[in-house]
Formats: sequence, C-alpha cells, structure tokens
Amino acid sequence: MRGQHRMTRRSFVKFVGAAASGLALGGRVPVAQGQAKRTVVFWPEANTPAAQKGWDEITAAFGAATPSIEIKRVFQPEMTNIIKVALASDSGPDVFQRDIPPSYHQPLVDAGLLRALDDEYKSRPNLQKVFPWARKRGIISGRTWGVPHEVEFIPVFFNKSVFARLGLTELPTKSYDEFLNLCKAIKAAGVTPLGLGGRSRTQPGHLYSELMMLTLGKDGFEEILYGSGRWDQPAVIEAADRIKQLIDLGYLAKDALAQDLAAAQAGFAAGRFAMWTTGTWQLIGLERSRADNPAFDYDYFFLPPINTALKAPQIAGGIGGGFSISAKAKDLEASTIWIDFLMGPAAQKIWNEVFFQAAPTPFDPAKANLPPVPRKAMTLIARGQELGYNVSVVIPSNVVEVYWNGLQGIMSGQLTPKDWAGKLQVEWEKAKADGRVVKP
Amino acid sequence: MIRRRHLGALLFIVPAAAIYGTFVLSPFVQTVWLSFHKWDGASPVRVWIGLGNYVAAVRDEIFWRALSHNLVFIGMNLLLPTSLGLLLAALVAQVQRGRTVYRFGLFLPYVLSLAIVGIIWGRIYDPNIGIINQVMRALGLDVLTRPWLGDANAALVAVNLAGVWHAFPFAMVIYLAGLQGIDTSLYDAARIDGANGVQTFRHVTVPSLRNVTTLLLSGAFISALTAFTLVWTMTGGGPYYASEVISTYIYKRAFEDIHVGYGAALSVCLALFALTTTGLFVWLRERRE
Repeated sequence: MRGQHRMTRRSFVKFVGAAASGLALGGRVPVAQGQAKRTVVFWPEANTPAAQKGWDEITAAFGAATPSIEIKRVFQPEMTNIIKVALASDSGPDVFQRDIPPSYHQPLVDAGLLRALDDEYKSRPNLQKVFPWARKRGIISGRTWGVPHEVEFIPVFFNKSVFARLGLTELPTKSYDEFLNLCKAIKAAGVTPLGLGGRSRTQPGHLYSELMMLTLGKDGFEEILYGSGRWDQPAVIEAADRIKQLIDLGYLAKDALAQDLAAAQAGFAAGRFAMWTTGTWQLIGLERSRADNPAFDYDYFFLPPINTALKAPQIAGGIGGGFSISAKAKDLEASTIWIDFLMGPAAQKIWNEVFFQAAPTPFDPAKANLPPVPRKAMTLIARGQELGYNVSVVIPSNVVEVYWNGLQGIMSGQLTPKDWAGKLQVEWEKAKADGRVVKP
Repeated sequence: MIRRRHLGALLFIVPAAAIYGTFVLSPFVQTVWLSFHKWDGASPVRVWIGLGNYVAAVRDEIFWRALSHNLVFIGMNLLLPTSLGLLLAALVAQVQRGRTVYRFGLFLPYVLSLAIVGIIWGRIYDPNIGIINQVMRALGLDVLTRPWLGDANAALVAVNLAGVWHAFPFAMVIYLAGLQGIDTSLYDAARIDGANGVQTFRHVTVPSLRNVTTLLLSGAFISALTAFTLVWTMTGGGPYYASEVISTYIYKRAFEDIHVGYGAALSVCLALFALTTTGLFVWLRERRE
C-alpha cells in the first residue's frame, strides 16, 4: 500500500472536524449578514423541455427583480391526482399551477385547502389588471380562489398545405352549411376532412364545446350552469347530433376514436386529414410540428353560426391554467408577490413567446416575437373580449365523466344524443343535490 | 418452559406481523371503513351512509358492464396464455440445440412493463400505420381493417390479446420447469405401452403438470380480475366503457370523480369476489386430486 493515499483514523477525525466547522460557518453566513431568503415552494404542472425553458426564464427574471424571495420549483405532471392529498397532508406547495375553474377547485375550496385571494386582487398591481370576465371564472361561493393565467379558445385548425393542394381558398364564415360544403369538397378530393384524437377523451369534448356554443350559446349554457336550464333541451342535443352527422357523412375520421392526441397532431401535420379541432394550448405542439416539417403550415378559423339568433362570435374557450395559494402557505406575502409577478408584463412576454399562451391582462402582442398563428391568437386574446366555454372545465366531475364517455358513445354508435343528454341531466341533478355545481 | 418457547416464537413473528399489519391489513380495514362513508378524499368531514355505496354499486350499470368485461378477461386469460405456454414449453423441451435461444426469445415479452406493452400494441393497432391493418391491406383484406382500439366491438379483445402476448412466456417458463420434474419412467412406460406423442402428452405430461397448471391458472385469474395498466394505457376504458374493467372504473370513480367512499366500496366488492372465486377454484382443483 506504500505510495497510495490512505486515510488514518486521526486524519479522518481531522477531516470531519474541519468539514463540520466549514459547514457550520458557511451555513451561518447568510444569517449573520441578514440575507436569509424567503422561500416559496411552487408546483408547476408541465415539464416539457419548452415549459422548463419558460419557467427557467420566468424564475430568473423574478430572481433579478426580487432577490429576497427564492422560488423552489417542483414539477408535478400529475397535479390533479395529487394536489388534494398533498395539501390535506400539509406536504404540498405554497403556490401551484392548475386549472382554476370550479370543476377543479370546488373540492379544494370545500375542504378548506385554498386561500381566498379577494384582498390580494385589491392590493397587488398586476392582479388589479386581470380582465373581470376572467377573474369571474375563479369565483366560487362569492370569493375568488385562483388567478387565471391561461386564456384559451377552441377553433378549427386547418392544414394550409392541404388546402392549397386542393385549391381551397374560401373559408366558411356565414353559415354552418358552408362548413359542410367545405368538408364535402375535401372528401371528394380523397382527403379526410376532420380528424380528432378521440382516444384522449377530452378531444370529442372540445368539438362538442364548439358546436354547443353555436347551438345554445354562451348565455344559454350559463342558464344551465347558474339558472334553471336543462341538459336535455333541444340545443344541447342538436350539437351532439351535429357530431353524429359529421361521422355519418364521412367528414369526421372514422378512426377518430382509435387515435390519441399525439397521433391526431401527427396526422394533421402529415396531411392525413385537413382540419383538426383543438384548443390554443396546442399551439406549442403545432409550432414544433411546423419547425420539424417545413412542408407543414397551418392557420385556424371559427366554425360559422348554426343558430343565427345568437350574437356572434360564440367562441368556445375560457380559462385553463391558473395559480392558487394553499391555505397553509408558509409565507403568504411572498407567495402573493410571486403570483403577482406571474401576471405582470415581464412574465407575460415569456408566456407569449415561449409558451404561446397569454395571461388575461392587457398586453400588446405586437411587442412580442411571435410566429403568425400564435400572434393571431394572442391578438384576439389581448382584446379582452369575453369568451364562451369549454364545457368540461366548468361542470362537476360526475357530469364530466358522462359528458366525455357519452360523446365517445355517440361517436361509436352506442348511445343516441338524446339518451346522452338525459344522462347528463340526471348527473347534473345529482351534483346539484350534492352541492357540487358552480356557485358563482 | 412452554411459555418461554412461545414468547420466543412470538418475538420472531412480530416484525413480519407488524409489516403485514401496517401495509396490508390496516389499509384493507381502512378501505372497508371508508366504503361505509361518503367522502371526497380531502374534506375533513366523512358522512356515514352505511350500505349506501353498496346499494349504489348494485344499481350501477357501468359496474356490472365492467365486471362482465373482467369475466371476458378471465376467460381469455385462463385459456390462452396457459395453453400457449404449455404448447411452447413442450416444443422447446424437445429442442436439442439452441434451447436457450428459443427460451430467451420467447420469454422476452414478459420482461417488458405492461405500460410499455400497452404503448407497443397501441402502435400495432394504429388504424393508419399499425402493422395489423397494413398487412391486411397488403393482402387485399381491407374489409377487415378497423380502428381496433376505437371500435366498441373490438377494443376489449384487442387489449386482452396484448395481455396474452405479455403473459404466455411466464406460463411457458413455469411449465418448462415443471416438465423437468416429471419422472422419465412414466414416459418409458407410455412408450412400452405403445402411446404416440399426442397420447403421451395428453395422458402423461398434462396430468403430471396439474399443480403447475393450478398455480398458473390462479395467477391468471387474479391478474385478469385486477387488470388495469393495459386498459388504462391503451383505451382508458373506452370507447364509452366498451373496454372498462373494474379496476379502471374504481380509479375513475374514486380519483377522477372524487367519490372515494364509492371507490372503496367497489374495491371491497372486487376483493371479496377475487377471494371467493379464487378460493373456490383452488378448492375444486384440490378436491379433484
């Protein structure tokens, strides 16, 4: 062993002593200098490389603006499944990101796990600027339980390359029949007009939301949510009938229920079908497809009116992701400062440019470096116009279950729209009896 | 003296009993307790509703539909992986050269996690680029192509076949081990009596593997009753409950629909059904012996 380094017992004791002293001294420096940072534990829900990049930029900007507060980020892709237990067991975050509409938040509010933010909306500069219609979507039982950050809507995306190849230049604007004629022309050219990732249960729900806004409208849906409107009324059934019509006419891909979301996006980008209904949350994926495949380009339009008595435009969408504070947040002030920063102009620029999302506060998309379609979407959002609804995010979970599965049932011929609407009404009444419906 | 000996034995039992009690018995008892409550999983208040959740389960048509799908799973799981495993084991046992290669190659699907199997078979069943539809189109059998996982009539069987592909290697390996334990003098006697290969297989091999078969069938039975991963990754139980099984339904009701009490009641029903039927099955097998 000669010539090799061996640690004797004495040298080991010296090493441990020195290391311990060093650690102790090092650990005391911030305390001695009064620089101990306040900490906010924050759980964002997406951990894609693009989302990580965005969060890196946002936390760096926050760190530069507010050096006394440190953000400890823990990604939680399974947020919906674990947040309830985490908050109840006091092992959760101070602040977390997740959809804030009542269908998600009601159980947390009922369990006393969230902090109402009404006072913070009055006192924080960026929270004061949140569009009123957006703030309203986070209200349960008269109090505001979350900060909406992701405004989203559901248009019909179309593959520009396919449209150009088929010589299609006119988009449908005036009536739903124009849309059907467009589908007919695409089908006649041998291309499937409309695709969907129906295996991901949410996707048929997005198409339905678009159609329901055109048959029942935003106000009619609010009458169900807040008033005495019923799910088994003709306009609700008609929207589902329209989905069945698209299948019967061969306009909606017959394999739509066998495709998941990723396959639907790939099929759309590859031109397997000409149009795809999904939300603007998919812009980040579509832009990635565009970067990967130079032959692919896309744009979007809104489905034209069905019920012409409704005030146009009736756009399905609303609020998706948002931020909430735990009732047991260790440092409420620091948590509020962090959320306020997330709604401010510095963060908004990153939301726009990296996430292709927009927070519902006034902003100028012209100042952001954006590709054409995200710019178009941001411009619409920046107007502050109230949107309609993506149905599934504002109804209780037992109704959502029947809503999603039932649409699959209609598409696969196992259920009629009328029977489905009847089941929705039954679940709605159960939810009402349980106190699980929206309480504005 | 006897007491001291008992005390010593108890001391040895305590660690295992503590672990079993904490991680098996206690959650089970808690689940039973929860099943008598209405609870959303977070609220500090749990409302006692007695047998309300069980009454709701009896009236729940989706529950019965899911249970019927489990029965299809059981039927296919009892029949296909074990018979395929037995057949392949008998064939591989005959191979003189390269037996290890065959054994390794055939065992490969079993080492994959079920989630991976779900993804692989999801691609195989893809209506556009999946190999099944592509081969059918190449053979001019377009009429037989279908959106397998999106077709209400095909989804359940399609998921199950992926499970069979994953399960048969285990049966094969266990049967191979069982084959090595069969007394060779039985084969000699059969040969002297003039039995051909099929007769030897039927009257010597199969009866000699009775205990192995019981073990495999019990395992297959329980795994079919508790099937979750493949269904979840391939169809999520859809379209419109066409491939829903009890476990996926429990998950949805307990954690997506946040009816934890109801989910607990369904879990208790499933556990009781599994215990009763498995016990009955093993008893019947042993009684025949």
